[in-house]
Amino acid sequence: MMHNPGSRTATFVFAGIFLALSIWQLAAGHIALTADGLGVLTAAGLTLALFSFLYDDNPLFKIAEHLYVGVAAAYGLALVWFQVILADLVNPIFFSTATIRQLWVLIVPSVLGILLIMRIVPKFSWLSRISFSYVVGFGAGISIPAYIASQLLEQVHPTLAPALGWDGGDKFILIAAVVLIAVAYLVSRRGGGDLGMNSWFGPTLLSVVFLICYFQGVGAASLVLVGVAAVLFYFFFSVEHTGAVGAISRVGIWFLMIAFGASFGFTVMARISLLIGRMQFLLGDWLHLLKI
Amino acid sequence: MIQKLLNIDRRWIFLFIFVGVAAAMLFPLPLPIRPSSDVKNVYNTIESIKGKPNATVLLSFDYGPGSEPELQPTAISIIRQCFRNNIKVVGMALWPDAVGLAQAAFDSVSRAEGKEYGKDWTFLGYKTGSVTLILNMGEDFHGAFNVDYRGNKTSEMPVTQHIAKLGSFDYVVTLAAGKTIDGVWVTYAVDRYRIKLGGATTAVTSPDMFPYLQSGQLNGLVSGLAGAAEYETLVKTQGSATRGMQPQSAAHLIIIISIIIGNTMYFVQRRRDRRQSVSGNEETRS
Repeated sequence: MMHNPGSRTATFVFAGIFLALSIWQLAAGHIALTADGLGVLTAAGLTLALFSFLYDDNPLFKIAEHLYVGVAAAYGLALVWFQVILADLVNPIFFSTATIRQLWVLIVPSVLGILLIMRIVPKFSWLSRISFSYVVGFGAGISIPAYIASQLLEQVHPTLAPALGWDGGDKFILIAAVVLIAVAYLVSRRGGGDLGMNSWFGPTLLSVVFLICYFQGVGAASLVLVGVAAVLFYFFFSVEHTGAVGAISRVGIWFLMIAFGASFGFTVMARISLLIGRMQFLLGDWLHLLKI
Repeated sequence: MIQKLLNIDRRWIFLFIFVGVAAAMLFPLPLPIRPSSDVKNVYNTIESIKGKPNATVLLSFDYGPGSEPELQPTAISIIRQCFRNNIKVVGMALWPDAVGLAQAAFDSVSRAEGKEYGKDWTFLGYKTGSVTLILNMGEDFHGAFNVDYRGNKTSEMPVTQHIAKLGSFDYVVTLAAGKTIDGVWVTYAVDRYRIKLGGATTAVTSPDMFPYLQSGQLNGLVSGLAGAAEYETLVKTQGSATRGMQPQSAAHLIIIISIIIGNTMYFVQRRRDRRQSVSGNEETRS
């Protein structure tokens, strides 16, 4: 890896920056050689090591990456051992006055857990099927009714709500939906794909409708209804997507494009937030440049 | 020039973002923060239970250090709001990595607001199982969490002794980085035990949560760093989220400018290529 010039540059530049600034902070007395101070230095060094990957892959990044995975796994294991296995299983079974009758709720799942681990022993791997069948049966029994109730039925009512009672905003959306479908129909008839029209005109028109809804504070629910219907048309492949069906499914694509765009925007915002978190640490806790 | 800009090394973009974020942190330019209705709903629900005898809020810490910048400020603000209104707070974690973060949030705010462990707040720690844990809590809270993180019996602590089951909490807020809100809390707690649920989530996951706001399964949502800054504005305490909004805006500005430049260069280059191909065809014909 170090044969790569980019890797060498990243290693030396980031290590140099870390050492120079850490020595400056120690000399200035901002960071003391205590447990807290060493913690800040370690965290700053590891943060810079992970950032160094933005320049090029390098050994500093690899060290930090492996350390992170190792520490996270060890921390998780220790926590589960002390807070779950010892507290909820070992102590009640071996160090309590509970009777076998009271302990069967712990013993049966423990046996099922041990059978699950048998998967790693080829000779007894078939025993794990008992546990798997229990897990699948229990999971399906608990999940299917709950998911149907909360993810499907509970969502149907608010989606269809505008169809049950119309107001001014809903009429606007109805007109907008008809215009959108008409535009989509015309675009597809005139070979909009070749003209590049369907790649920007429809989503732009739909975005305008979204903006009007947002600023006027009306029609959001009915816009969802139109969107759901149009997207369902797009995923309905049993009918050829031509004519009116094609036009509606094209509107569905526009809804999907805007949804993906919004999702991407939120993702960018989240990633920048993570950068800000680390930058606040580097400039504040490590370099003491921020006035808090 | 256009070719150079179109093929710019991505490391330059990283550097621009880094410089922009650092500059906005070192030379802050305060921007107005207006709380959205979804954030206000969480805030107002907590305000509405103040003064109620034994008012208790359950906070579920379902995130790890990777989401700390976005969710920790919200956790701190909610705990602060509860303590200021003398509302009891019970913390728990469905993610093992959240234990340290939850403790840090509780320790700092309880010290600042002078609240007592066991009487005004408690932290139950991490329990495995997610769905089964929620189902257990829905039937018998003290059975699901026999002891807290420090080993105290939940049936004896003043903060939890009146809690019989999940429905005994006046409000439940889940601070979640993954699919815990919809995959666990909405599906198994809201619809089965009819609890009032508020959510705080990372910006990445928040678009997936909007349908639950519309259906009322979630009564409010604090989305990402922006939502956390809005909550800090409501609680009237400037924290890391409020300070983070200026660099956030700076980074967004750089990204928008980069998108505009990139697209402009792309269309200019495409027009040039078309002209060149047309003139090339004419030359071939002549």
